Amino acid sequence: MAAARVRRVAGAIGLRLGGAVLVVWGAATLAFLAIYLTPGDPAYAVVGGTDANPSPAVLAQIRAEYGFDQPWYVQYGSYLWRLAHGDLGTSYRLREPVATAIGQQLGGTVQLALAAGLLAVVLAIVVALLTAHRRPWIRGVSSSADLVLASMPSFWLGILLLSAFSYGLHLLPAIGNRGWQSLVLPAVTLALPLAAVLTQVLRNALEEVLEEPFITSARARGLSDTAVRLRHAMRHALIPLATMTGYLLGGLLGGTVVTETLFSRQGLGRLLLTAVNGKDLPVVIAIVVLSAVVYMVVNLAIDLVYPLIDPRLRRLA
Amino acid sequence: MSAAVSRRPPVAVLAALVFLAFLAASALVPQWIAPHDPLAIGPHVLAAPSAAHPLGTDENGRDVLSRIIYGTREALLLGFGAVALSLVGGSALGVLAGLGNRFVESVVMRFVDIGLAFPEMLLALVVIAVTGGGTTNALMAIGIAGIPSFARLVRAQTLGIRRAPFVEAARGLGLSEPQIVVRHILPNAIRPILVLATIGVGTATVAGAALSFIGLGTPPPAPSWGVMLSTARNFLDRSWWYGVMPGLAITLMVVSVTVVGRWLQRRTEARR
Amino acid sequence: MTRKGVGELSGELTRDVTDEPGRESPDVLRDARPILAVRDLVVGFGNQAEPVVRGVSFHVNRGEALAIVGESGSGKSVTARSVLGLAGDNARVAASELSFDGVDLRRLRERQWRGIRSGRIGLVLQDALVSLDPFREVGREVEEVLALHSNARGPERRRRAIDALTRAGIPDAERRARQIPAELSGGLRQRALIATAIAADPELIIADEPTTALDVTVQAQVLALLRGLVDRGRSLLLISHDLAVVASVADRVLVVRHGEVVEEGDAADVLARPRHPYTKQLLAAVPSAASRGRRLSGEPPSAYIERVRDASHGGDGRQLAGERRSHDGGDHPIVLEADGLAKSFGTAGGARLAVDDVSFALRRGETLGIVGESGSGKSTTARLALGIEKPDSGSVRLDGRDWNELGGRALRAARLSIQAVHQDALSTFDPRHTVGAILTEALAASGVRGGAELRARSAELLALVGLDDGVLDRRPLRMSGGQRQRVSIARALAPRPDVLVCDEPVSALDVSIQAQVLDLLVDVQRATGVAYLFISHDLGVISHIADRVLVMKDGRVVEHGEVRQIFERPEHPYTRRLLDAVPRLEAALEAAPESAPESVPESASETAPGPELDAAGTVEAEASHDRLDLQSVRR
Repeated sequence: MAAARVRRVAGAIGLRLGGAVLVVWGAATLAFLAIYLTPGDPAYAVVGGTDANPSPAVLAQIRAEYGFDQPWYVQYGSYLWRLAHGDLGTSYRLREPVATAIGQQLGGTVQLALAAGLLAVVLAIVVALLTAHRRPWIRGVSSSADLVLASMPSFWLGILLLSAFSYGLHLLPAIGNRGWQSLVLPAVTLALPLAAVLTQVLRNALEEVLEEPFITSARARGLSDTAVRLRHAMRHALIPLATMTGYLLGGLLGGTVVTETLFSRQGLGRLLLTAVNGKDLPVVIAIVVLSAVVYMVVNLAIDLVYPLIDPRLRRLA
Repeated sequence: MSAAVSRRPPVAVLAALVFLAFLAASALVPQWIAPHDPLAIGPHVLAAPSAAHPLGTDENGRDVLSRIIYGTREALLLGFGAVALSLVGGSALGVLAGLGNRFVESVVMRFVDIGLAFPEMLLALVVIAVTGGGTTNALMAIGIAGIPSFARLVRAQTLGIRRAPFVEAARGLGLSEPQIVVRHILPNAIRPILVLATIGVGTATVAGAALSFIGLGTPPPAPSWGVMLSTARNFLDRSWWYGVMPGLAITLMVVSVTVVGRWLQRRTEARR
Repeated sequence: MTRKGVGELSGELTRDVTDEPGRESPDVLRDARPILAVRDLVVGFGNQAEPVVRGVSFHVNRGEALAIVGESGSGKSVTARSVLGLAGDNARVAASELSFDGVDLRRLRERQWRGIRSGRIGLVLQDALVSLDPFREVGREVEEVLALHSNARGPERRRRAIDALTRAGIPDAERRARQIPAELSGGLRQRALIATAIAADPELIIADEPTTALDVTVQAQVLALLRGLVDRGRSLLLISHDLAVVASVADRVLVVRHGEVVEEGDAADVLARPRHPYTKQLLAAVPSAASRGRRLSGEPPSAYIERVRDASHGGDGRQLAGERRSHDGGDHPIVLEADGLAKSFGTAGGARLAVDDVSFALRRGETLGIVGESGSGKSTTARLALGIEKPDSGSVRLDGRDWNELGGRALRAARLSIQAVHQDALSTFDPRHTVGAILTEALAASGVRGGAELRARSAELLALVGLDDGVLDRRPLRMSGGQRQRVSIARALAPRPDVLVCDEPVSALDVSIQAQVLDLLVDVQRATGVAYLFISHDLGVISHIADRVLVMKDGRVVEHGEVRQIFERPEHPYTRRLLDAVPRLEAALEAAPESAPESVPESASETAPGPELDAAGTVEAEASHDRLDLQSVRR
């Protein structure tokens, strides 16, 4: 019985992993197509654009070095081969392996993303639990705040925070990567809009659950309102929260592009932006593929969380 | 329940509609509304709000209010244009997957899955990396980036309606499959998506402003909310209002669009 | 159910209780003061001016079962919840008296309420699948009650939780306690829910439609369990829409309508000799074998129906549905014939046979009932007949043509001669369509062309189902359940079909609306000669409307034949069990008006067991101990 269940769960995970690999492969292929179909000679991108006015000999040498002179299937094959071995290629502009460039910038972004993600989830849970299904004015205030925060462009929120806390009150540094103080404003900037969206999702879920008959049953047992929320309603509302969190965390890397630019922080987002501006496609592709991998991993993890929340998924499958 | 919801829009919705009407006018005929030429350079640099310049001036002495009004066209174009693109592309794929046989569905949905694995902002950046920046390319980028999620929604909606009892009832009346698709499935599948698209306009507008903010959207000196904010970032220590006003415009627009969208959504749901 | 069953079960329960120290059931019974007293209860919601409950007064005596009976919108559930302070956040509750065992409930603070809830008043809701937390093991749900209302902790609390589950009639409670609601059958789930309500041994139990979602045999067991609680000295406030359920459990009954009490009294008395016209109407509306050929709604057929019947069918029409009942049916052609139908569906655990070797023939103007509990395959049979599902083997012949041999255009044309009426009419209408658009589509599909003819036929259809032209511009969402079902019938009749497949068409309706729709179906059949394949879980409905019946269980037909014959002299044990389990109004008549609750086991044991429905149902038989049907109750 237990062995069968383990086998079933393992099978499900295997299937999902297979799907994830398929998606990453698709992402890599799309990225390859993007480079391949980009109009213009990529050799120019390596030397720094057409303005650099390179000699035909230099261009030919670059083409040979990067394999631009090979037919597409050879390029695609060697691209996949290298990718499968963890070789992300060489940056056109930085003249170093993409993996090295990413490795240098990864830490700052992971720090920022984790801090923001954690802050957003905690804020959402606290606010939603306190405001769901309360008096109309409490709901009104809270949902208006969510609406405005979720509607704000995050870079504007960052500008407001900068104006207030850095230039107004001189409490926190405006730019840089030094120390925890420099993490506060970027993390809050990234977290607040996420928290607003998560609060909306969680509050709606809680309010739906709190109308369920089993909540009436629980109240009829003499349970206090707090106990009803924490012991019964919250667990049900965690399901949509987990779905939304997975979706948003997977996309957090996109948000860091803007935040890191605004706060002049080192990180993957800045690296990506520089690469996009310089048509440094190996870097762009590497980051995009990395992001797809992160997205798949996060969502795989979320899929494994569902059965922990909902026993029906474990027991009736 | 429903009668009250559907008939008269609440005050917030009315206010939002009025603001959106103002934005629409600003986009169509900014010259009738703006007090100054958005490109006219003035002597007062980074001036505080005054009677002549209600929202102050920028680093070149240009009137901020006029620049915001002239920037509306770009913002609306990006927001609505990008969503229209996502909607058309997403609906086509979604309907194909929702109505097609198992093979068509799985092929389409694998592509959609791959698209969904990219955060929309990154997908937009990839498109720009290939096509280069600029307003049109930004619009395309955001629009294409939105296709996978719309496709997924439309497919789910189509599948749900395909199994609905009223479709079975139509089949029982001897209607042919194409008739059923055209008369019952498509209208019912697309309508709630149209409402969601309204809300999507807000997200797309913010994304457009973000691309402009990081220098990949509309190039200066054309008035653009995102570019204004990006410039204002450098003068926060001297002039806070410059950094506040364009962002306020974006936020108010997105809030208005969302309020109207949610109201439409409640109306649609009350009808089913 | 019969009182016999109640007596047996309650005997066991009483033994259980007397083992437990600290409970003094016999004394409680003699306490004259009511345990619950409610006077002039008014409940309103939000800023609605009109209250939902308008001055309801009642009391529950100790050791007594009081039932509040009413249709939807009567305020019965709100009344019950107000007693627990659970009417809702935006409810305004006012009363000149609201007291439980001398405690003024109006003055309770939230903390004090918590002591009352489950500690002294237990609540049982409808459908435990949603009334128990679907994520939690049922044992933990029961333990939650004990954690709040007893000092028991740890293994002791666990033991008492399992004990409560056992008392609620759950066998192997130790194992069941570790299961979640979705792992339990409907009956066990409902018992688990009852276990949470009785775990802390409250004096009063409020049961709000406790058996509505259950199959009839399970319903009988749950009702016996509730009655058993009363017989061991607890008090019960039962909320129900079902008069027969009330008759089998309650001592006294309160009939409510639109938030007001219309009649109150001893259950047997009220059900046998109703005084208020509404109560009479309700009782007359209950379908049964004895109500055959009688109008349930008390309203005559519309003038239009009469005209159509006289004009288009003349003597034949009357003969069709009226005196045909005796019937050997040979003179009318077979319109629908099923032969050896089988259909299985793939599930995780392999294929499940949903329909297994089902055959029947339906003649013009006839009604064939299919009755069975959930999972019996009756709905799948309906879908096979409609050609929505294809059978694995066997055939369906419509007007002599096999569904399987038809394709494309011929198939679509054939579909027109067999139409469907579903339980949930609303979901069968395109949400964008008005009634006019719905009828136009149906008429156009059946070949009606041209504006004038469309309008004429639409008006005709509406008149046939008793709606006026004003509804053409309305959307079904804004119509009542009864009106929606009429629209659904009108649409089904648009192509002038030979067969109407009615799948639980009245199951979602209140009894008085159900009566109108059943009357309408009878009228329509008499007027048009359409044949019905009528699916229902409700034996009363089937015995009222069907000429012949198939009894289905686990996909197979266990018995078939004339309705009267089957319901009077069932041969298959399952049919017998099914009939036994149906709660009957006459149960209330058997109990002597003066009988105190504790005398129930005795009086029950006097009653000879036996399920037979009295076919004659004559008024003269009323005083006797024969099982009467509604005919005798009706005045």
